[in-house]
Amino acid sequence: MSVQAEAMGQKPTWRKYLSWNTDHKVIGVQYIVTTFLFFVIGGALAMVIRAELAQPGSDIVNGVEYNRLLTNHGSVMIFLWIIPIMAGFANYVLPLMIGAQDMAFPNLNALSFWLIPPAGIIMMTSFFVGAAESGWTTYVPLSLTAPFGQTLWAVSVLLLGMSSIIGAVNFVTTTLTMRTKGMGFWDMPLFVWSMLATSLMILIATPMLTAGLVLIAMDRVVGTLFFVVQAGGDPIFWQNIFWFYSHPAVYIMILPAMGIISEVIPVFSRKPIFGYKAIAISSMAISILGLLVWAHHMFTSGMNPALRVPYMITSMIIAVPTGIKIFSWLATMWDGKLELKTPMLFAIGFLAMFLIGGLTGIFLAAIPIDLHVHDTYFVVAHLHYVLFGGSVSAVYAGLYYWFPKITGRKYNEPLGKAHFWMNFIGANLTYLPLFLAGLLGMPRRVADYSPEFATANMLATIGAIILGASTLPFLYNAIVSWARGPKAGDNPWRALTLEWTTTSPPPENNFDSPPVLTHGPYDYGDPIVQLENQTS
Amino acid sequence: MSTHVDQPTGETHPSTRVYVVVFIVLALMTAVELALSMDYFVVPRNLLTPLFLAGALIKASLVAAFYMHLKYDTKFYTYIIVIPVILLIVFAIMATIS
Amino acid sequence: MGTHATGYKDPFNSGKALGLNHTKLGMWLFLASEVMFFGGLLSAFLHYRVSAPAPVEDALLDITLVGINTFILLTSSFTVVLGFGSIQAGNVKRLGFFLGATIVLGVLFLSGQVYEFYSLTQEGLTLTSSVFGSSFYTLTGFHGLHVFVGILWASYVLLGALRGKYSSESTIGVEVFGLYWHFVDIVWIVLFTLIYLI
Repeated sequence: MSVQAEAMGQKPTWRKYLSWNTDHKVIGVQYIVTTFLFFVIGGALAMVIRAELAQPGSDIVNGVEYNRLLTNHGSVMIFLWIIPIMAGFANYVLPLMIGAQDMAFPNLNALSFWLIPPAGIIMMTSFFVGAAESGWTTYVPLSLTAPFGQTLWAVSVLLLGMSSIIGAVNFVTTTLTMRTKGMGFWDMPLFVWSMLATSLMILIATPMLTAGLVLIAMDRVVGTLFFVVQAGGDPIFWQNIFWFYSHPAVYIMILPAMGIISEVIPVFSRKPIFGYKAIAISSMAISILGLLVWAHHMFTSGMNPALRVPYMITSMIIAVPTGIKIFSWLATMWDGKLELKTPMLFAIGFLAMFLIGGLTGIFLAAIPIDLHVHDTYFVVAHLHYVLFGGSVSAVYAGLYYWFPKITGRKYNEPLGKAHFWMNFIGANLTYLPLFLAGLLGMPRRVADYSPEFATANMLATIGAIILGASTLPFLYNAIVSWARGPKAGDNPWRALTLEWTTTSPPPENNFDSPPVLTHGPYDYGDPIVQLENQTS
Repeated sequence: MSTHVDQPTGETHPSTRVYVVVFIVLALMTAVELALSMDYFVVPRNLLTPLFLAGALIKASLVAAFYMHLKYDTKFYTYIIVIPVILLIVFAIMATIS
Repeated sequence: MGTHATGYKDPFNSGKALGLNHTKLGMWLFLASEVMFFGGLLSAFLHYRVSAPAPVEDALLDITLVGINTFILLTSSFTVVLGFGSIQAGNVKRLGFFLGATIVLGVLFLSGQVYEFYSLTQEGLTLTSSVFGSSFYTLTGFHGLHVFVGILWASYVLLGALRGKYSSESTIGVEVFGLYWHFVDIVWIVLFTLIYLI
C-alpha cells in the first residue's frame, strides 16, 4: 500500500492501476509494470533461442519455429518493452521535473497507455494462429506469404505506433507550455531535453512505418500489388520506408536512456554535469541526424551503390554528438565524490557497454566493413550492446533511482548490487563472444550453424542463463520493497531536480503550490544551494 | 495588408478582404494549371512539370500562411510543419532513386 | 479521491511567452505526423510512377471532373476560414452558416471522388489491377477518408455552435478544426498536382 494511502487509512490503491486514470503518475506506473511484463516475455523467447543455439544442430526447434521465435523476440523487446518504457518514465517524471501538475492532455495520455495491452495481446495471440516469422524487419516478399499472425503483427505495431505518436504530442506540448517559473530552456533537466529530441523523431519517423504497414497489410489482405515483384512491386521500397522509421527507432530507444544517465551521474558524483549545453544540443543533433542515416541498413540490399556513400558519411558524423555525451559524463565523474549505489553502478555499466556498442556501430557504418559483417552475429552483438548494455542498463538505473520517489520506499541496496553484477557479467558473457562468431562468419537468424562457431555460442548461452537469472533478485527486490521496504522520505539521494522537492510518492497534484526555481538542476557543490537544500 | 489586433491575446488577424484575395488567387492559379494541363496553351512538357510543382508549393504556402494563420503566429508552428516536409522530400527522392 | 487536476494549466505562462497555445500546438504536432503519413503513401505512388509507369491507366484519369472537385475543396477552405472569422467577431449564426456550407462542399467533394472511383473501376483500373491502381486508390482513398473525418468533425463543431459553445472569447475549437480542414485541402493540392497535372 502506498505510504500516503496507509497514512490516510484508505483501501488498497492498486485498483487504480487497472482502470482508466488520467493521473500521469498512475499512467507511468501502468506503463512500467506492463512493459516489464513484456520484457520478461521477450526474455523467455531469448532463453529458448539461446537454448537452441547452445549447440550446433536444430535440436529444440525447427527452422520455421526458430524464425517465429526471433521475430517475436525482437518485436516484443523493441515495440512492447524499450520504446514504451521510455514513454513510461517520461510520463511519471517529466511533469514533476518541470514543476507541472500533469501532462497537457491527460485523457490522450491515458489513451496512449491503454493502446498497449490490446496491442500486446494481439501480438501474442499471433503465436496461436501462425506467428509472424519474417524477422522484426518484415522484409518483403517473405512477409507477404507468412501466415495470418503476420497480419496480426502488423495491426499490433500500428496500434503501438499510434500510442507512441500520441505520447510524443503530449510530451512536446507539456514541455513547451507547462514549465514552472524560472525554468527557461537552459534550466530544464537533461532528461526533459532528451524526451523533447525523442518526441520529434517519433512524430516524424513513426508515421512512415504506419504508411508502410498499411501497404503490407493491404497487400496481404486486399490483394494490392505494392510489393508483388511480378507486377512491378519493389522490395527495396519496403526497406526504405521501414528503415526510415526503424533507424530513428533505435535513437528513440537510446536518447531517453542517455537522459536518465545524465540525471543519475551528477547526483552520485556530487558534481554538476559537465557540458550541460553540449549534451542538450547533442540530443537535438542526434535527433535530426538520426533521420538521415537509414539506408546504412541497406548497404548489401542491391540499392543504388553510389547512394550508399552519403549514408556512410551521416552515420559516421552521428558519432560526434554521441561521443560528446560520453566525454561529458566521464568529465562529470572525474574528481567527483562517487557514491556507488545501484543506480550509479548501472550508469557506469551503461558507459562501458554502450561504448563498445557505439564503437562497433562506427565500424558498421563503413561500407567495406559492413559488406562483410552485415547479417552476421557481429551486428547482433553490436545491437545488443547498445540496446541491452545501453538502454536496459539505463532503464534499470532509472528504476532504482526513481524507485523511492514512485513507491515512497527504499529498495534493498545489497540485493540491487547483486542484481547489477549478475546483469553486467551475464550481459558481457552473452554478447562479447558473438562479435567473434560474427567475424568468423556466423550468419544471423539461423537455428543450425557450423561447428567452428560452437564455443562462442556455448559461452553466450551460459551468459544468457546468468542474465536471465539476474532478473530474479530485481523482481524480488522491487516487489518486496514496494510492499514493506523502509520509508524513503522526500529526497533520499539529496538530488536537486524538482521531483525531489515534493513527497514520496507525490501528492495527487504533484506540488502543494507550483514550485519556483531558485537554482539549476545540477548545482551540486554550490555553497548557497547547499545551505538552501541541506545537500552535500 | 489590412489586419486588426485582437485585444485579449494581442495577435493580429487578417481581415475578410485578405481571405477573399487569397481565394481568388488560388482559384485563378488552379484554372490556369488546368488549362495548361489540357493543352489550351501549348507549353512543352518539360517546362510544365517544374511549373506545376512551383504552383503547388505557392498554393500550399498561401493556404498555410493565411488560412492556417502561420504568417501571424509564432514561428514555432512553421518549423513544426516545414521540417517534416523537408525530410519527406529527402525521403521521397532517396526512395525513388534507390 | 482528491481533486486531480485533469486539464491544462500554465500558471507561469511559459507557453504564452513563446506565443504557443497548447491546443494549437498539439494540433500542429499531429499535423506534422500526418505530413509524414501521407508522405509515405505519396512516396509509394511517386516511386512506382517512375519505376513502373502505366501510361494506359494514367490516361484514364479524368482531369475535368477532378478539376471541378479541386475547386469545391478550395471553396470549402474558404468557407471554413470565413466561419472562423465570423466567430472571432462573435457572430455565431454566420459561423453556423459557413460550417454548413463546408459540410455541403465536403459531401460534394466526396461524391465526386466516389463517382470518379466508380467510373475508373468500370474502365478496368482497380485497387488490384496494377501497382498504379494500388498506389492511386490507396493515396486518394486515404485522403477521402480524412475528408470524411473532417465532415464528421465539422458536424460536431456545428452542433457545438448551435449549443452556444463558441464566442469571440472562445474560438479555439473552431480554429483547430480549421487547421485540420486546411491541412486536408493542402494535401489535396499536392495530390492533385502530382497525380493529375504532372
